[in-house]
Amino acid sequence: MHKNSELQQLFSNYKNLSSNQLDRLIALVVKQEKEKLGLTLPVELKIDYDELSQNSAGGDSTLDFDEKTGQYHYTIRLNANEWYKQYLLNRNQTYQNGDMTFESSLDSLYNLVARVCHEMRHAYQNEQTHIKKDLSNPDALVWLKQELVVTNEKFYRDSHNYSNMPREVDAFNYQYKESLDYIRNYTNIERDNPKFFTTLQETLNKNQRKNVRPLDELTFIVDGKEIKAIEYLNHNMIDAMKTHNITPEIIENSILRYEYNSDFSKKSFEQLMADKQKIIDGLDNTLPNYIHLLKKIESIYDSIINNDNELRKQQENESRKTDENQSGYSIEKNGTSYMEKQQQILQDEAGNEIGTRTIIWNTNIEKGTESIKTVGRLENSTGEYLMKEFSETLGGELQLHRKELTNQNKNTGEQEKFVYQKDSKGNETYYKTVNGKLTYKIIKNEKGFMIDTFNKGQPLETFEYDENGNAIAGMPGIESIDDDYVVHLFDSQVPYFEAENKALDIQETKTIDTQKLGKETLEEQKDTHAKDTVETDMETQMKANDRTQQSKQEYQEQPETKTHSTENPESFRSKMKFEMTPEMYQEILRHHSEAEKNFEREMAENPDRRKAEQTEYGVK
Amino acid sequence: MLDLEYGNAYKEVLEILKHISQEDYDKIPEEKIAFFERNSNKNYAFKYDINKTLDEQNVSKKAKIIIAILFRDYWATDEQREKIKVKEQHDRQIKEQEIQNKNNLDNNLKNENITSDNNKITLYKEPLIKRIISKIMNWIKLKK
Repeated sequence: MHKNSELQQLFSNYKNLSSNQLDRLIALVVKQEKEKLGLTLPVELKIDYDELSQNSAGGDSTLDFDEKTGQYHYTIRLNANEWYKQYLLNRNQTYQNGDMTFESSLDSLYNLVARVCHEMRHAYQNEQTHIKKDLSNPDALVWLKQELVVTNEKFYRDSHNYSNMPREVDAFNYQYKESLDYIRNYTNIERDNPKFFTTLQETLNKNQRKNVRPLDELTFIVDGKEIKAIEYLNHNMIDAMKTHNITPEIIENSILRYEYNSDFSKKSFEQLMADKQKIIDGLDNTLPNYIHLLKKIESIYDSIINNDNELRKQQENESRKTDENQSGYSIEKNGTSYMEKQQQILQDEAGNEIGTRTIIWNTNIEKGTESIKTVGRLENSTGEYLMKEFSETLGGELQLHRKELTNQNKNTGEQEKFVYQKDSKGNETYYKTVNGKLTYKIIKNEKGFMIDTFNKGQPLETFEYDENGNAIAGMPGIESIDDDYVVHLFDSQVPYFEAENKALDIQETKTIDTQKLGKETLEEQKDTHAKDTVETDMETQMKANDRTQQSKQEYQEQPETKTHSTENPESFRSKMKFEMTPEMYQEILRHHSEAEKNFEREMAENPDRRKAEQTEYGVK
Repeated sequence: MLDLEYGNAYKEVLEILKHISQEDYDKIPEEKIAFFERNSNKNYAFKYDINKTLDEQNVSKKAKIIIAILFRDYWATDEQREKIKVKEQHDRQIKEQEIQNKNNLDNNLKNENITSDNNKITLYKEPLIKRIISKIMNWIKLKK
């Protein structure tokens, strides 16, 4: 299905959008935006310091197309505000030729999307809250990102400090306006849902009338003095500005809003300047918390972005260097095939080492095959993870892709396992087990999606979606799922980490040679009887597990019928069979022969009883 | 109690398997790993130290037997596996012989005299010479 029609479908019932639908919307919009603009990640951003812009703590951004490189570039103009500098430094910027540049994983675009969806959520669901407890999905991330800056909005509003309010903080006016521009330029909402769009526009107009000064009351700060815009600009210029729709927001050094004290007296220029210093001091105090939170949500955001399979493939190919001197890299060549190995250490967002990973590429040029095997282990506050991934291509076409994640969950104490697999036909499977018991399973093929949920291995519910992801019997509130639903579900379980190429010491890999284990169990190797007993016990347990599972499943499927079927006596008999060891059988024979002896003795002692038995049961 | 013993052993085995190479781990069928996971005792805390032997860490007998089985089936070289299987076959033959002998002994006991004394059943086997004399005496009596 074309992505635009997916959006339309989502908005057709916009009043009842659920959290999941908004999640999908965000993912779709970001993805569509990337395709539309032909952006590849990372997008280069150039930051120029504009020392004249003393009033604004934030910055403006523009998207320019560079004809020479054929790439889009974001330009951000910032002022020399100290706290923003510090914030940027903490984002590990690099300096080049006196200008600061950094690479962003769609941050600016995402902020646009974040603003769009923030406002839409207000409009659609009349939701007042901003904070979500669970940060593991894009929607919550949107809210938290907004909340981090909106928190400061109160700071500004309480002191009637609108003019100094950073534009990105201005949820009521600036963000709203930008969101509408985004919707107008990049979606079909205005065309397909004009009524809804008009409602949003009217809300914006109302806010602007309330908060923003009309053009003829606008004042500028020039050389430390406040002057009226009409004194700075002649009327012709103002008319020209109106004609070209140049609004006050884009003019620098402007005092945009009505600035009053709590007693409704108008603020003096000196008060405005004092307000600005107060802001800087206030923000400095909150900066450490802000950065810590920002790092955390950036890590969540990065893991969401990493769901883009193409991106990850590109990154892995980039990390696969041909330079044999790179730390942790080795290559073995054998005729037309070669094996490359890359060792890595894994770090958390704070740079602490939390695990290791090894990637092995096996390439056979003659056969046209390539396989990639990845094994990683990491431990963090939530659990101990074992990550395995295997993919195989033939002539560049995928044959098999399998991913496994095992986690000893420190919070619940449970052992969780997640498995994802995709075959050459594009069929996908995902399942989750907890303590060995199935809890969730999805199968995707050319016919659609089948989703099964289980409770400790027992089937609970089944949901179905067609080949286009539309619900046939859908999960509550989820009318459609996208093509990447299955793999995204797996990837969302993977803990965040950053990988650094580094040779791993043998000790660091913490493996034990199985030959050593063999030597340490030499006595047990010699004890055949013990091994046989344990193997038999294990087999019995396995069969008991299977029987329990089978009988419960049959009961689940046919709760009204008996546990055995008379239609197939053979299967009934086979179900009633039970396995026994030779020792068990001998024991039973011995008991049986003793019982027979006892019976014979009793009959001999009591002839009347023998007669009665014979009459009732026939001659023995 | 038996389930708990095995549950603890499976937990120990799973912990040890976390420290073997990926190549050796992949040799074990997934169903077996899943079986261990399903039946392991989640409440049993065990941490494996590769720098110590299994005995030094008091790994249970059952766990060591399971490790021995895994070694035989998946990690041993062909030569090692052959030796183990030869020994196992030999041990099983001896065991079967023992069982056979025991069964024969049981069968023989059916032919023996049984006396009862104060509700006790005791087996009494007359010495061979006495049986021969008794047979001769019976024969003499019959002759008379």
